[in-house]
Amino acid sequence: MTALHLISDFNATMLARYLESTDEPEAESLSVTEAPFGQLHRVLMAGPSDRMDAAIVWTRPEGALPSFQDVLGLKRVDESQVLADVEAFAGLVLKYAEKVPSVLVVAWSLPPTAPNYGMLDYQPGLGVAQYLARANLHLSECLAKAPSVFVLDPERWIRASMPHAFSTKLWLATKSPFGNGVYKEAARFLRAALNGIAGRSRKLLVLDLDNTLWGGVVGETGWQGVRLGGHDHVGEAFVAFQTHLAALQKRGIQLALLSKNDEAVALEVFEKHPEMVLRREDLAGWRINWGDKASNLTELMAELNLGLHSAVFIDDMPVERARVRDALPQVLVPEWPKDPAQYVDALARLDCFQASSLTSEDRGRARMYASERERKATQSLTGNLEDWLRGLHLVVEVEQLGPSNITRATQLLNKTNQLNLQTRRLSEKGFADWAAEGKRVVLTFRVSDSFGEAGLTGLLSVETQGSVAQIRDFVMSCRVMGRGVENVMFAVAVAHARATGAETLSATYIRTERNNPTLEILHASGFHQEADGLFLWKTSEVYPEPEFIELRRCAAPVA
Amino acid sequence: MFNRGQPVDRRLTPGLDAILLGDGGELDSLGVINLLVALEEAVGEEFGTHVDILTVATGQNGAEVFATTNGLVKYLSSQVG
Repeated sequence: MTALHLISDFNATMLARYLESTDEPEAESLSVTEAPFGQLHRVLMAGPSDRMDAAIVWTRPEGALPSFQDVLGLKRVDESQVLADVEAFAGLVLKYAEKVPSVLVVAWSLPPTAPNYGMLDYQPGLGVAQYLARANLHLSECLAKAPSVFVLDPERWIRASMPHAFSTKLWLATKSPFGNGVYKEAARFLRAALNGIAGRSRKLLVLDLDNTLWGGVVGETGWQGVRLGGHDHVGEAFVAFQTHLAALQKRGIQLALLSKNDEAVALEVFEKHPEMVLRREDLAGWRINWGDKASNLTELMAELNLGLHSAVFIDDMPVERARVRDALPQVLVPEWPKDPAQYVDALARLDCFQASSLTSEDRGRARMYASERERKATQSLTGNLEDWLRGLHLVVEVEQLGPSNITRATQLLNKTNQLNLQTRRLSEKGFADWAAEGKRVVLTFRVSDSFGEAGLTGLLSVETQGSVAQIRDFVMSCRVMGRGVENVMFAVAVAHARATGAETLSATYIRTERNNPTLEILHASGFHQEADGLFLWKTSEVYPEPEFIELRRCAAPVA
Repeated sequence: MFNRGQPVDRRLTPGLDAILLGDGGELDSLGVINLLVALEEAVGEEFGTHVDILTVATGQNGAEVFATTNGLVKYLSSQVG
């Protein structure tokens, strides 16, 4: 159960009700506490009275900023006063955010009936719209310094709820400025955002080909005959859909293919069709054959080292959707429109891809998967595994947790399920605070080889108390599994434990539904299994580092 | 139509016998106001006329007129008939 604090200067009870009530069967339960009405600033100043997992702050500009009342009265207002009010409000939010793991702040908006200067409304120093835009921009700038605070744009919720997004009558009768449609949309978005913060977002979009990525059946017509672009509204719809998919990929969502087709014929479209937006190098992987899609998808996810919970499957054929939905309930299979012109809208409504941060690793992940495909192709040509690993020229760089890597490190901690010792979920601030306390060290591991950079893919935290050091976090991306990186991490952990005076290093495995691979690594690690889930290493003994990996220590604390 | 837009645990019993106002009412005051304003909007769109249901409901005989969904339907029929 996630505890939410809803702070507002208006009656937001309907939002609370939509947040608490959902017809999605697997949705996380939310418990919403509304802050007392009319006490916005006092509540922010005091902080929550009970433990809260997150807070939502949604205010009207005239409720949060005293000078905005004059702006709406069309009085002359000094812009610096409005910006100063924004800073004061942001200061309160930041103070409040120190006591809650995550705070979602909704940007300000105005109803169409708000006073305005007509065609002069965007004039600097005068127009209401101009002041509103400046206030929102300044708010986002002021709050950007806090990684656990997110400023959300309500305009999408408002547009989706037109023409009933605002209701003067509801405002007069209930002090609620928005129609219910806005709260419903907002609740859907906020639930997805909370899932993203908790690391429960989807990471992979798996796509069918014929009549999904292009019109027609490529096996019948060849690449020249598919409907794609070409000043034809159907062909243009598929180009628009692919353009949106490519943009999604830039947000770190990977794309893969699952199609009943001849592989060579289907991939020809990616190579030869001039209007294809997506190309082979944009794909994390594919299964194109005549086999069962559910089995193929299972194989594909294993190849990509991703859990089924990470996947969304899109197919124009209801029977294929039903097959995957029935066989693999963990995979999200949305209903899909028949008309390709509606594909972009359907994609935009999938808000399961929310992420609380975006790193360069996310943006370049497709390239990493392409490198991995090449790497595996080479492996299949090489008989001996160690010879092959030696040929990769693996380099592992170890660096202490710091401002330059905390975002990615926290993301790795929260998103990794399979190779995660204790599956702790912490906000960026929570993680930094934890690392700063006691005798603790948090180390990050960057991996590269002759095929390219895998990026920051390992995380280790060790806590020492007296003669015992304990591994709290042992987190590794599946992308670097099987290359000896885990042994480097153990070697670094043992060396650090010894340097802090500990005689024993322990690792306590906490089982989850998905982290069995971690247990397998522990069994193969050479650590002595003392009890169920408890593994030990005597630090008097040096842990052997794999010879074929070059270890570079970038920060002093590593022993 | 109203139910589709409501949180799943706050929907009105379908049919004409759901109690709206007074003892045993299925909706709280916020729910009733939301229902009546949504109806005003729907009637405006469908019939091009504005019916001020909320003012009648909160007036002297409102509790009697709108005791059940049946009363509400009868009232609306008389207004847009």
